[in-house]
Amino acid sequence: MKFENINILLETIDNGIILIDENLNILFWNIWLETRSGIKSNDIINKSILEFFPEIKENVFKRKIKTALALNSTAFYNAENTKPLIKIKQPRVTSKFFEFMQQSITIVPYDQEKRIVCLYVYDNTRLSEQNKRLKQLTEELEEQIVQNKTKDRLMYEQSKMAALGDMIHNIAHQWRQPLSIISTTATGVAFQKKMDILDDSQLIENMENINKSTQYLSKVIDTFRGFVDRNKEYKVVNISKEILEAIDIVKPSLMYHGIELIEENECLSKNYYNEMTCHELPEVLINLINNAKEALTFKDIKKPWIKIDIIDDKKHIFISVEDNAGGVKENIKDKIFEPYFTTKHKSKGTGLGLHICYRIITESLNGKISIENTLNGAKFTIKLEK
Amino acid sequence: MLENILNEDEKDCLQELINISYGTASASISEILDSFATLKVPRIKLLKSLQLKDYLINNDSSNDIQFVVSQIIHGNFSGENIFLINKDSAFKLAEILNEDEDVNIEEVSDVVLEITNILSSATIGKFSELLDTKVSFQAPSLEIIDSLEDFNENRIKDFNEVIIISTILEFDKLNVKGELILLTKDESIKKLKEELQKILEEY
Repeated sequence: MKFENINILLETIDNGIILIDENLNILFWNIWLETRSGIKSNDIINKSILEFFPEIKENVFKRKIKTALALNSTAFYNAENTKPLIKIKQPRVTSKFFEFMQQSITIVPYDQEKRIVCLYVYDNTRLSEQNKRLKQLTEELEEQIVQNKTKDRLMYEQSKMAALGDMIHNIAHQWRQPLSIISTTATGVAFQKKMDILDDSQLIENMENINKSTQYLSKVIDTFRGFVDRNKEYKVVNISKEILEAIDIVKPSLMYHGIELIEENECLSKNYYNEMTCHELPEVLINLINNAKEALTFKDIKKPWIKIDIIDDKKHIFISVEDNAGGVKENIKDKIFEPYFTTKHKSKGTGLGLHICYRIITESLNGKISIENTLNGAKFTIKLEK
Repeated sequence: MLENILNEDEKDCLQELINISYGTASASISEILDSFATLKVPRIKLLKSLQLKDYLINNDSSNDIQFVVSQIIHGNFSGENIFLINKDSAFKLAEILNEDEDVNIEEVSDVVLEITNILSSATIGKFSELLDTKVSFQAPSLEIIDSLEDFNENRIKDFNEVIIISTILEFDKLNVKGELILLTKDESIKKLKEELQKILEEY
């Protein structure tokens, strides 16, 4: 069967089609190219393409034609890497990236004897635009990742400083009473000596008191050093013991502020075991208790208390810390674990404490942490898988 | 799959066919590259795709930036060609071919793409003609990586067997080394084995 109207295909196809010989003389130029370049077929046929597009690199173009003819195979101009072979102004004014149509061109042998090849010109502008946009987005994303990493490092350092501050605060509370005893006793001894009323038994008793207090101070240092220097290994942990460890550290500070620590259902006298990274739970609990303490003192609550409870439902262990400070506003509940979110004055809070708690519970302990308002105040619940 | 690996006779036969393809192609390549380039007879090596990265790293101690071009092959003998050339060789190649000592990265990229296409056509194109089967090539695409350590193994995980056609393009006395790697799927290796067996039975 003979296709007499085969030219219709060449003239209606949505690509540019050029027939060109090895000396770069154009033999065919389809309507697609006429309409896009503004160069009529009659004007360009039998003329060198270089007359119309002098920026074409002659040796490269001729080599590609040679390749197609010599190897009886295809040769290409890639849109990604090369400038457009045929400069055609973009009609779309909305294009942000390219002034000229982006093309990919396939060169195939047409007539090896007459040394003619056929060029298929594809308009790749849209694809190139999308690629460019994607590249921009990737670069922005990479930049964002670097920024986040820096922010994370900064956040870690800030949280360490904040934890150190909390530790010093807690040590100060624990030292205040024995230091006061030492100071009062020493002043008393000096006064009694001056008044000449100091007898040996009183001196020995006072010295023993001072000695007891210094030993207590030394024990406090050991407790804190133990808390800071510990290895965080993954093993079976006695949760009640971990909670008591946290309480040991914050209790003097709570007592100083007149806050009662309530242990619900005698939970701390029972043993709850779970396999997890040890020494991370106390860090979280100290943070939660300190937060509750600050809310109670800031709001000046009468008869303030903090309640701790553990529930074991065989699949999970729930540990809760509740206070009677009235709770948090509903509109900030969702943001409370976000970094740098704080309701405290800037000098008091970094906005990292609860975020660090969230990360320890979710990332390191594979658990969940949530907040709810009860009739009394805020209640944080930690849920650990068993 | 183990039964798809070529035996010694088939491997010799494949080497012979590739030599013939290169012989046929070398005249064309000389014509294309204006006679100052010759293509050395390639060495053939069969590897499991997972061994490819180690092979490439052991073979190129330059730890240089690499131009990695891939080109999809369609047809009965389908797969993917990967051409690897280090930055130094790629720039030399572009300077010679473009007759310009001051080439930019776009020009170098274009030349590397073009050479890949020439080598693909010269080897696989001619080779498939010998096997009386038709193949066509998709336009090659380029990725530039910092070193072979960054060679993305994910791109080859779909392929089991790798045929390495290691070749050297010689420009006068200037050695430009490039490695053409043919990644093939099981069905292509099976087809290749069948064709090689036919030839071995005939001769």
